[in-house]
Amino acid sequence: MAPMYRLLRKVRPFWTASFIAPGRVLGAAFFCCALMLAAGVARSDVTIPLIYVMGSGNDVLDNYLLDQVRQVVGQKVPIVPINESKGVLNPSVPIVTIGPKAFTTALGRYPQSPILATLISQEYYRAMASARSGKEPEHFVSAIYYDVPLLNQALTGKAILPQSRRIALLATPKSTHLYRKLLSQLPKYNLEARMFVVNSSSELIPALVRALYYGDFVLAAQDPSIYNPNTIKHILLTAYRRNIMVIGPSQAYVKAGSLASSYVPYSAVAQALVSALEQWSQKGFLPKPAYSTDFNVQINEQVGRSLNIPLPSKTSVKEQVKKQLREQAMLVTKDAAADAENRGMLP
Amino acid sequence: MNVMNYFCCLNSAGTNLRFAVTPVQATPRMIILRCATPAFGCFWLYCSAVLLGVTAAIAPALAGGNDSSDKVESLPSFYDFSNDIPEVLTTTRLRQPKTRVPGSTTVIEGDLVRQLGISNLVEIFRLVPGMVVAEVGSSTPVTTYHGTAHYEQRRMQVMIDGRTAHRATLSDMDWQSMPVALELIERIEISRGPNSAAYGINAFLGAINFITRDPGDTAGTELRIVSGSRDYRRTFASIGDATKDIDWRLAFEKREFGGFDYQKKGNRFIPFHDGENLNFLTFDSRLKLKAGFNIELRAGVIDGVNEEDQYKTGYFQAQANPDIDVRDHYLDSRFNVIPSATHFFHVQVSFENFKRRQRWPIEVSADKSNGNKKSGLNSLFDGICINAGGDPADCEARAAATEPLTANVNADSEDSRLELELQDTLVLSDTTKLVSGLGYRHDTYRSETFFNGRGTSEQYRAFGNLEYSPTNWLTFNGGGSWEHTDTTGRSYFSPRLAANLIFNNQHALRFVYSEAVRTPDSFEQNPDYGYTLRNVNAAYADELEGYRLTIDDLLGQNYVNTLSVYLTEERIRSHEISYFGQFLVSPALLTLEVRGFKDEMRDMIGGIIQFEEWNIDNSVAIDQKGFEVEGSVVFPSTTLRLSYGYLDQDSRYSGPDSYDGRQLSAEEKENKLVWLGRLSARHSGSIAAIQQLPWNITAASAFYWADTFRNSQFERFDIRLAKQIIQPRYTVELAFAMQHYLNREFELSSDNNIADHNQFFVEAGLRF
Repeated sequence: MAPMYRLLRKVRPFWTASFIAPGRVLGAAFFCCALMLAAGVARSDVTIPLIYVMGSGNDVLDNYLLDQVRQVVGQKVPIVPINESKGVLNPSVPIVTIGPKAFTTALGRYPQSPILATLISQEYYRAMASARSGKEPEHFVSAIYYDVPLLNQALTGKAILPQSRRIALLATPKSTHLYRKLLSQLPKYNLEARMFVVNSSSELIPALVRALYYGDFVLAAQDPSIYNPNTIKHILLTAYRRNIMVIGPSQAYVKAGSLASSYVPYSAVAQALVSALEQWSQKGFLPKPAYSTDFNVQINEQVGRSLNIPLPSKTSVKEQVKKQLREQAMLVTKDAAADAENRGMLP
Repeated sequence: MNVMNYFCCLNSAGTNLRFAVTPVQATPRMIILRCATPAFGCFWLYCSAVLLGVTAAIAPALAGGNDSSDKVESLPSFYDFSNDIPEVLTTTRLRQPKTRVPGSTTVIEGDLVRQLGISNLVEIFRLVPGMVVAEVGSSTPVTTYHGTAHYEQRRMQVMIDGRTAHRATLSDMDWQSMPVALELIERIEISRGPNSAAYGINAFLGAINFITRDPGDTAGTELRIVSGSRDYRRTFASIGDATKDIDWRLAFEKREFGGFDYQKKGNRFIPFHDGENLNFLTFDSRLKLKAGFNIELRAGVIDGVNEEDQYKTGYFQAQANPDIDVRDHYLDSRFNVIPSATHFFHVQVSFENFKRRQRWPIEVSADKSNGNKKSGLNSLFDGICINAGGDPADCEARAAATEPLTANVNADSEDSRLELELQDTLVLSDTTKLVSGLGYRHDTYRSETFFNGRGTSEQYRAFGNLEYSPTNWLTFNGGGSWEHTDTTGRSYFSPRLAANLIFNNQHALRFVYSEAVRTPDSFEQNPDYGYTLRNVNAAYADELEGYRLTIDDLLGQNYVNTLSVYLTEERIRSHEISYFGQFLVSPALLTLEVRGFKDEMRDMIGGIIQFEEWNIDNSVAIDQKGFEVEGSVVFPSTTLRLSYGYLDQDSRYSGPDSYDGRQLSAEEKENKLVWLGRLSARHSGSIAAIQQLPWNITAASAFYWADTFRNSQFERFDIRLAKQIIQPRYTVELAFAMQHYLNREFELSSDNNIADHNQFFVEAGLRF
């Protein structure tokens, strides 16, 4: 026993330097593993020195997203929470905000720092950013939108119900602008849509009733004035009774009874976040606010079966939507090339 | 907020550690010693920790991106409102997919009915494979699945939102006074085939359930007017609201129609007085008291006139049109209780009162000019005298009268039904579901003419159905109902067994066996049919004032009268093989359902129910077999729908050969078979096409045919063009429809004649 003890005493400094209590052994083990793994998974060319983070207030969510980020950047990049920090921040390091509240807070509290908003809708970002426009150079404040473009949702609906053509939309007078881009994009995909305007909460159901006479399905956008936990029950029940499916607004509503929704997985947000930060550290400006290019589809199979809709698989729907977007993009490029040729710009 | 690294350091309180630190922590060296001394122990701890850690770290990475998407579901959303998105469409709220339904059910959406421009309720059933529609008497509409009798068609269970809708005394269906407006139909579910196991005694050939628009779905106002040929006019208005505590709707409908244009009398064609003018006021509401408890309250009043032609009313020569005054009302309440996501039940209590007033003057002629030895009057008095055992001298005096006798008679009736039902649905597990319940019905009938007073009858039943899916490609359904009715005083058990083989959630092959029973209703079993003469005008007939004429007073009957026969139940046994499938052939969805059946009906009550001739008895056996097809192809702008039914019916006489010692002739037996085949058309079907055109115009057309009824085929082609003007705050619809009768011949009754084979309709509607 004694000789062994003497041997270990020599080894002790190594032990004590890294580990202080037995209870930390396991924690340290996980840390090492994650480090090893992350090291394998992480990119070796990451140039981000530091990440400031302002969380959403929901620890579970924030931790999950940051885990995804760590899987991309590796463990070497420190992630510093700045909610309670009263110290001065390095103004050349962008603050990553999670959620709309954090974005608003960061805008107000750290006007000198560049801000990258994540898990925020296009609608919210534009509303907040426009309030501050003109004060900072371009690409100083940016965002990675958490919602999917409405066109994706529309194409998701069409992939599940290929025989559909008319899409019903509900909007308040203040939110009609959400749909403008969509209305112009739809004809290229052989779809058409119509907005039914709701002026007050008492008009919601009559407008929905008329919308259900028109549409093959209802496309719900991220519009809390219409689609929120108080109204969603009535909307889903009414549409279901009329045998009409609802697409969107987000994957959280699919569990409630929407037939399907496209959504951005946290891993895609993390990837986009890291790319944006890299662009900042390499080129000195953030990319324009944009939607993540990757998305997944969530489908409520029980509701689909009850509506007697033959459901394709989630991956098949995703592939179909991507294919349609690609084909359109190619058509646009072709048109542009043809135009250019016509104008003598190409040989 | 602290960005918590899972592997971060202990905070000063030590509470984040998984392993509790002993109070000796204050002396770190001691702890190290404690760990270091059993060095190998610590080392193994370290190694196992590493192993665990590696596994824990690798597993999520290996699972790939989709795992993270599953995790997303458990993370709350974080938009500006609270994170409590309720689960709305739970298992108990969802309808059964067609692949799992234990039988062939045709579902007709209200939108289809409206788009095709169907002008009254009974016409909807031309779209159902195996069903036919016709008119009897003074344009009384009748519809049935798999044929059988045309007058008093009473072999289907018809319900409105779960409440029985047919009459209480003679369970035939009065389609003209049915309080469902075409605009308020959400969908109609027709269960084809016997289904007493679920719907009770009258679901002999099938069951029809009208599901009206939920009051929560009709908030706003709707107005509609339709005007068309043969004095057709329908006016509809509804107003409703949906709030947090109550959803309600008040609707008014007025139906006016002129009926057929002319009837045949002898060799001439004369106008046919067979229209209707009925008003309906209905109220539907849902009181949302708590999250798991709501009450549906419905009430309605029907008031109007159902025209009857004086030449089509029975035994006596009517001197004026014996129009029927309709005054019905109903009250229906349903208590829906949802104790949990896997259990819900409802209690339905409904009361309906059918009040009909039909009074008309009659004349019995003293005319002998037809070459008869006796006039109508002679026969009448002879009959009465003989029956009443009167003084022969008086009888002769009356028989010699030359003045016609006029009097008033009535066929007033009032019947009411009180119905209670408790139905419980319990989702026992992912594979098992149990629906069970109890029902009670109390019918009261009052009629001087049909029952000579008042009577009641009661029925009670217990039913259940167990659905078991041992795998996801096989579902078994076993159900049955036990019922007792006092029209026969006996109890019956009707089972139904079904097995569904499901492929891919899109195709199903079903094998169904069911038995059902139809018991004679109160009027069939216990009639006391007699007309009371009032305001008798002839001086020689004073004693006849208030005299109640019955069949015994009628002379010259050369047929058998079965009034004293005690009727028993009719029985049906049905075997079905059916297939349902959906094919997604982008961009179209093809749906197909094929049903093959072989049914045996025994002890069918066949014969005539009339004042002057009553010879019904359980005397016919029918074997039916055939197949039905229902299919649809839906493209983005086009919908095609097809239905076809083939019915082969073999009947034979299975009743007594004689009654009271009097033999039945071959012709009499044959007649019974014929009467039970009046509506059994061999081929029937429909084709419908709906096309969305630019500028919000919809074109719909349909072709209906049935081959044959008694005389000839029914063939009609309908077309409707509708334009919708959709504004943000309101929608206007204008439509024009035309019906073209291809066949100029009447199909069932020689009195059903339309002057112009093209009928036109114009519609205007507003919704806001």
